[in-house]
Amino acid sequence: MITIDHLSFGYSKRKSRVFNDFSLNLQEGNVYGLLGKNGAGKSTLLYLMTGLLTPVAGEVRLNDVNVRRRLPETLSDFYFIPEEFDLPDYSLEKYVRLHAPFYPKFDHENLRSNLQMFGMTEGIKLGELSMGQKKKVLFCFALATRTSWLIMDEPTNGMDIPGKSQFRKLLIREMNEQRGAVISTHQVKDVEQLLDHIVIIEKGKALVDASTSDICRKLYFTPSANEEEARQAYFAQPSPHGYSAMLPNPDGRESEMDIELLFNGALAHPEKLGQLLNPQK
Amino acid sequence: MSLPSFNGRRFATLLRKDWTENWKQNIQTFLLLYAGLATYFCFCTLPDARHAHRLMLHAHSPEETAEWQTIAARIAAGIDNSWENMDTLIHWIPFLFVLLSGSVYTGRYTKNDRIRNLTLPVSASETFLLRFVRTVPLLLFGSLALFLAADYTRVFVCNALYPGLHYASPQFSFAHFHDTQWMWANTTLLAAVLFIQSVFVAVSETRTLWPTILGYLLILLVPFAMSFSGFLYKRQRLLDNLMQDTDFLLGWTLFFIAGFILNWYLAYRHLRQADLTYCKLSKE
Repeated sequence: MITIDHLSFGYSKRKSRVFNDFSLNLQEGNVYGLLGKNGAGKSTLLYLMTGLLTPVAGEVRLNDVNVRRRLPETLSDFYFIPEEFDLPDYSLEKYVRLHAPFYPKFDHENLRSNLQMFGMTEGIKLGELSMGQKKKVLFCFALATRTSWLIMDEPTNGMDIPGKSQFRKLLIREMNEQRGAVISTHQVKDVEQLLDHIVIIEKGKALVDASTSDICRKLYFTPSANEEEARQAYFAQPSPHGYSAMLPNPDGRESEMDIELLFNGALAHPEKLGQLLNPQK
Repeated sequence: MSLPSFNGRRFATLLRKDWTENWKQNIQTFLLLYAGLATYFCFCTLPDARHAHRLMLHAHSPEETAEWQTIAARIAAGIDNSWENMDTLIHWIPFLFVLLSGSVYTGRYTKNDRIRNLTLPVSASETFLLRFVRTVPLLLFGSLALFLAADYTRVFVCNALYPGLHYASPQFSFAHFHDTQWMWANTTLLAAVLFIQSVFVAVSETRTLWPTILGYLLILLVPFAMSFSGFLYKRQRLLDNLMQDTDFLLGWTLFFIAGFILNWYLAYRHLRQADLTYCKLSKE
């Protein structure tokens, strides 16, 4: 379990803080979608969760151990894929030989199978890959480490369309009750089918922190609302079929969640949605 | 060996990873330095050797015979003119390595590198030990090996071009260390070099690297200059004599060693506290 406990952080004393008394709990077995505008602090939150930044106050704990201590046991229990990264200029085979020993649960067979899904083998030269291919490779490697948590910053950026589809399939295949994932992204359409839990952050606060089932139970999403429905909606925006609307759902009607609509609604009416989805906050 | 923060097996894996990722760069640097040093050494001995060789083959008078025999004897004893040139250079080689080793930990760190390094499941003590092994013993033995290789090359080249003479092999015969005064001077120099190197290592994790280094060295240089001028004023002695004053050298050697230990301790502390904010690029 990842516990973010009353976290405060700022890049310097002169600038305002990115997070102030921010708390969040993340449970294994779920895929968390971390959404927010540019500069909302998504990447910063991921860096804090992985012990790459030092909070001003509060702490982030992974299985009750402060991640800032950067103990090898903690570091080998999560894998972080940043938005941009470099891979050394040698073969994947060698990369695995040098890096896999740091992860006690590393599964070589799983890596081969993951790579196969993307049509790749361990013989590829890392230096010759495009950014999208590097992301696929590192994603396969990350899954094979069998860490409890996968933390990914814009994982589908640079991937081709078949790659994005394989990414979803692989993540669904590899997730289980002992494993959690955090995906920070602007490409919500790439991952919306995967998410179990949505966290929308803005100005260092979680506007939404709710499971997708909870959101769908409390909200009804329709792509073709009329004007009367749009007036009653928490949030509505014009669509080719009238209005895409996020309506109250007192009857518990089933609908497919529209993350883009939820995101825009949360930013437009943070108080209203906050009270509905996070009454305890 | 396995302690809470140190695991021998993990450290061996880290060493292997580090060598595999950097061996090309390391070998290239050493080859470049070797080529430069060997060329310099060759050009130090070749003029004397050429002159002695020519006289040896074409000596007509007893004076000329005596002259080539004198030069040949000096070359064979390793005290030819080249020795004077090399003597100066020997003392600057470690400084060259200091600058190189300092840049190893400062120049190549981008945000991506730091994320990769900081999320690698190794402890701060393992990273620290890797840095120490690379920077102190390996670098010292490396520079010694480099020097010897370059000097053997000089002997080989001179023998090939001007055979018949005996060339001291190698010139770096530790002759200086037989002399107690020079041994002290060299020990102080070595301690000073290790100290300056440790300054680079200690502050390499800070954002304001060069101002910190300059500030640090200023703190060192002020007492050094005061002690130096005080010494000259009180004892009215020349610089040459200063290098033979064992008390003076011992004091500074101890100071440099203490600074060296302190800096490496600071380096360890910095490694434990290191995060992305040390990297300028992390600000987004």
